[in-house]
Order: sequence, then structure tokens, then C-alpha cells
Amino acid sequence: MTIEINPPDVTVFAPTLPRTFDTHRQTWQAPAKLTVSVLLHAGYYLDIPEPGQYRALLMPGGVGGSYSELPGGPEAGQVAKVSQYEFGLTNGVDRLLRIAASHGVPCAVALDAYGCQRVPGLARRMAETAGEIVARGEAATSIIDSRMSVQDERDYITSSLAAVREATGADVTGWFSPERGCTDRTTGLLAEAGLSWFGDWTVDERPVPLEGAASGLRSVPFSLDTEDAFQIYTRNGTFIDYEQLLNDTIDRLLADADIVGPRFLGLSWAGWVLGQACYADVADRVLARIAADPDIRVVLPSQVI
Amino acid sequence: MLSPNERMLYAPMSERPRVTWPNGASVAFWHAPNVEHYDWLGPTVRRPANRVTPPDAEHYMHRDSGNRTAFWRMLRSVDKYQMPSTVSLSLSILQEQPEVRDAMLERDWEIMSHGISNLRPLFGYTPEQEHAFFEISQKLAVTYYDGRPIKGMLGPRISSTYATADIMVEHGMTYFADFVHDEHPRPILTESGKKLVNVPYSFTLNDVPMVLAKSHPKSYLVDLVKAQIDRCLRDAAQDGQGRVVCLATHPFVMGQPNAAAYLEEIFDYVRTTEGVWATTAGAITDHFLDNFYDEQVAYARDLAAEHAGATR
Repeated sequence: MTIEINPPDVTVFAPTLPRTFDTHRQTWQAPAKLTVSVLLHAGYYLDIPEPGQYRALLMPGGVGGSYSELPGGPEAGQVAKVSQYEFGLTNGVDRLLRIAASHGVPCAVALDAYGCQRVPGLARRMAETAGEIVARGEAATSIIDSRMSVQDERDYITSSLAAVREATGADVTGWFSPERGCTDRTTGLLAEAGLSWFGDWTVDERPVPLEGAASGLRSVPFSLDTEDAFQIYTRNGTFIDYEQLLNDTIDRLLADADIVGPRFLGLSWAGWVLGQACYADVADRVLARIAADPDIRVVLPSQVI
Repeated sequence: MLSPNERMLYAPMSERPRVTWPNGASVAFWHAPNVEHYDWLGPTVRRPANRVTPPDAEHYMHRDSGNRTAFWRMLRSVDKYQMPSTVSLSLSILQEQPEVRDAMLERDWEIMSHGISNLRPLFGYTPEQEHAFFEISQKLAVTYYDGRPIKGMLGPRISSTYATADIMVEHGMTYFADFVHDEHPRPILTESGKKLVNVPYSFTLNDVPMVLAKSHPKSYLVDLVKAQIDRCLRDAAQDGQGRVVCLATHPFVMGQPNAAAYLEEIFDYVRTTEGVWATTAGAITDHFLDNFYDEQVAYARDLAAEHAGATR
């Protein structure tokens, strides 16, 4: 007997995502206790959205003063926020790549269409330096939104993908939606576009092959809880706490691997956040620790299978 | 009209020509105390905090105590370490709080405009209103501050319009601190082609967002400043690029009795760390304009042309 508890207009579970639970499934087969991937974000921030674009109501960053603007405050001229995100493209992402290279850690870089088309040399430089290029939609400020028609969403994905592929010359197989924006259809459309993995569903500690319309696509989960923008900006943590959080996470995942099998940790870092000089040592020390541990392997996200 | 995105002439730190500082310094450090005035009753709909119907005595008195007592305590720390300071100033103070003005002038502080009052942002200003704003700003400085015109601005409440950069250069200004997209000064494009640069301010090494808004202890600001200077020095040693570090303070935060020791710890670190040039925003701007601006613009233009060719 099933007791009727859900109204007809409710979708209870995310479509295409199999529901499996750690102690009720086969162990993930991986050659190390802990597999780590590093994904660096180099998103482009537009002060004013262009017609037809959707943006998140709240995004981390900005002046961060002691009060919020009143409702109906200025929509344009947010120089602080525009330039803060731009820092990731001028300084931050390069600093993080340099740090990773010094530890022999390969990184993926997520680029969007605007960054590739409007920022001179960014795509070329990232293609030369990053281990993998990931498509990150149209712009940090242009996201997938449920008000889109299916064709608009399909066009958003295919045109973003084409822009990143063309500018970098890279064989892009992975996707990360800005602000993790999606609809019921997104995973199916990503599979339809020929992508093999995406990173924005922070749902598990191992890769998850999707089902149904998204068959052929796997979720490589880049954890929200260990994301720099989330902890340092959204949650207002200190960089000291953040480093401790990362080390605690790694310690526990290594220990858990003996109980529930190999674990995956996706580190999602933004050039404009952890690439700041005052925060970058966290990346330096954590990557040094990861690189030195024989129980940890570091691979590119496309290699997480 | 150029958008903020278009004004930032892009070139990555990792590839652009080098920018260096006098006497072999690697880091140019500037201290920006924000000495602000908040109107008891601001212009219509502007509230100091989204809290009570104005007047907001809690907010007003907290800020005003900054100028009555905390500013003077901060001065004692500044004097102890002979720390050059670029005051981000609510310009009404020049006329209405002469004691504060004279104390800054005695110490040769550079004035960076922070508007007339911090409850009067520039959002929504017409070009005529902005011209009048800058005219009054310069008049206040020339009249009350030893005839010295103002070189730059941090917008009041970090506010601006799409025309601000174009209008401020018409009133003799050469730097605009609202842009924080780099660790170098960078060219900010203007419609007229007149030279304007950003001098990197900070919303991270800044007591209001970090201590007041996010409630981190004042000691955390010390951690941030040390980490920033250390990383910049190490990076400069590696790539030869000088860098800018800004510490933004507000008397009503870092001038509090419980903060003085932490502020002095920062100043001590700046003064005792080799390779740090403690200076002002104006001096950084002048050095950049005199030695690097043209080369940096040319490099970025070439990069943009190459990009346009590649994407055509």
C-alpha cells in the first residue's frame, strides 16, 4: 500500500538521478582511497544582463557592507562586483594554476562563452595551461532558468559549448552550470549535446551515472560544502576555518574509504575567491598535502568514472 | 557610453609588461582610513541601515563616535608608525568638522573623495548633477585643504553611474578606486581618452565587511593583511611584478579601543617587512602614469586586436 502524500503538482525527486545509498550499493571501484579533482572557475560577470538572459537573485561577492541596499536599489553600476569577478580573470585563476602546477596537480578550468569571446587571450591561455577545459554556460550572470523554453535552453547549451570549443580548440566533454542553474530538462539536454559529465550536482562522494533522458551523462559531484565561494562568502567563514574544513574533510574521507569504499572529492575554486593573495596559501598548503599522500590520486574530472 | 565591463582594459598579470616600484620595493601598501559622515536624516528613501525609520540613532551615533573619539585614537597609531594615509573622506567634513580636517592636513594626508556624505550615493545622478558634484568636491578641497585639488575618488557607498569615470577626469581626477580587478593599477578607459587608472582598493582587507558585517574578530584582519603581503612578496619574487596592497579602515571599527592593538600590529608588520613601500594612492597613480600607463595600454590594445583577429 502506498499512502498518497504528494500533491499532483510536486516533483519529489530530481529527474534522471538514481537514488542509491552508500551502504546499499556496490562499492565504487577506484584505484585509491580518495580521488580528488580540482575545478577552477573563470566566470565572466556582466553588470547588466542582456535581453533574454536570466541571472541569480543573489550571487556572492560585492562590497559586503554592514547593510543591504534597499529593495529596488541600483541594478547597474555595481562596479565593485563586476571588477571583483574580473579579478579572477586578470590574476586569480593564473595564480591558482601556478600553485597547482608547483605541486604537479592537474586542474580543469571552467570557461563561459562571454569570457571566451570578450576577454582577450583568456581562452588561449587557459587552453595552454589547464589540463581540461570545461564549459560553464554563457556567463556567470547568465544562467539556465526554468522560465526558458526547451529550445532556448537547448540553444543556450549548444551555443555556449560551441563558443568554448571554438575559442580553446579543446575537446570539451564536461559542463558546469553557472550558479548551478538548471531545469527538469537540463541533464537530458546535456546528454543530447554529447557531454559525458557535469559537475554541478553536489549529491554524492562518487561519480553517479544518470538515467533515462540523461543516460550517458554522469554527475561528477563538486561539493558545495568545500567550495571557496560558499564557505568564505556565502557562509562568511575565515580562510583559517576553510583550510581546517578542507583538511577535516580529507581526513574523514580517507578513513571512510575503509568502510564504504573509495571516495571522491571535487574541489571547486573560483579565481576571484581563492585566487586572492590573502587566500591563496590555503590552496597551496592543501594541494601540497594532497600531492604528498599516497592514498590520494588526483585526476581531471573527465577521468572520474 | 562605456559599461564598467568595457572600461577595464584587459590584460592578464601573468603576461603583461612588468610594473615595478621605486627603490626595488615589491609591494606598494596604502592605508585608506574611511573618515565618513552620515547625515542624521539623509535624502529621501536613503537610510543608513535597513533597520528603523530614520533617524537611526544607533547607526548615526556609532559612526559619529568614529570622528569624535575613535579617529583621534587611530591618529595616535598612525603617528606612532608614521603611516602615510589616503583618507577616503566624506568631503562635508572639510567644511563642517574643521578639527578633523586640520588634523589630517597637519599629517599631510592625501584626500580621496568619498562623496559629500555617505548617505548621498551617486546612483541615478544625471550628468549635470555629477558635474555639479565634482565641482563642489574640488571647491571644498581647494577652499579648505591648502588649495590641493583631489586626485581620486572612492564613490560614496561605492556608488557611481555609467558616466562617472568620464566626468571625473573632466574635473582633474586621475584615479578611481571602486574597481578592484587587479593587484596593479590599471588603465580605466574614458570616452574622451583622458587618462584614468584604478588604484586597487580592497573589500577583503577592509574592516567594515570583515569585522562589522561578517563579525570576524579584529585579529582576523591582521591575519588577512599578513597573508596578503606575504603572498604578494613571494609572487613578486617569482614573476618580477610589483603589487599593490590596500588596507581599508574606518575609525568607527578599527579606531575602537578594543581594536587599537590589532591596527598597530598591522602597521608594525608593514613597517618592519622588507620590500614594502608604504605610500599613498596618489603616489602610486603618479608613478604608474609616469612610467607604465602608455606601455600597458599599448600591450592591452595589441592583445585585443589579436583577439579580434582570432575571433573574426
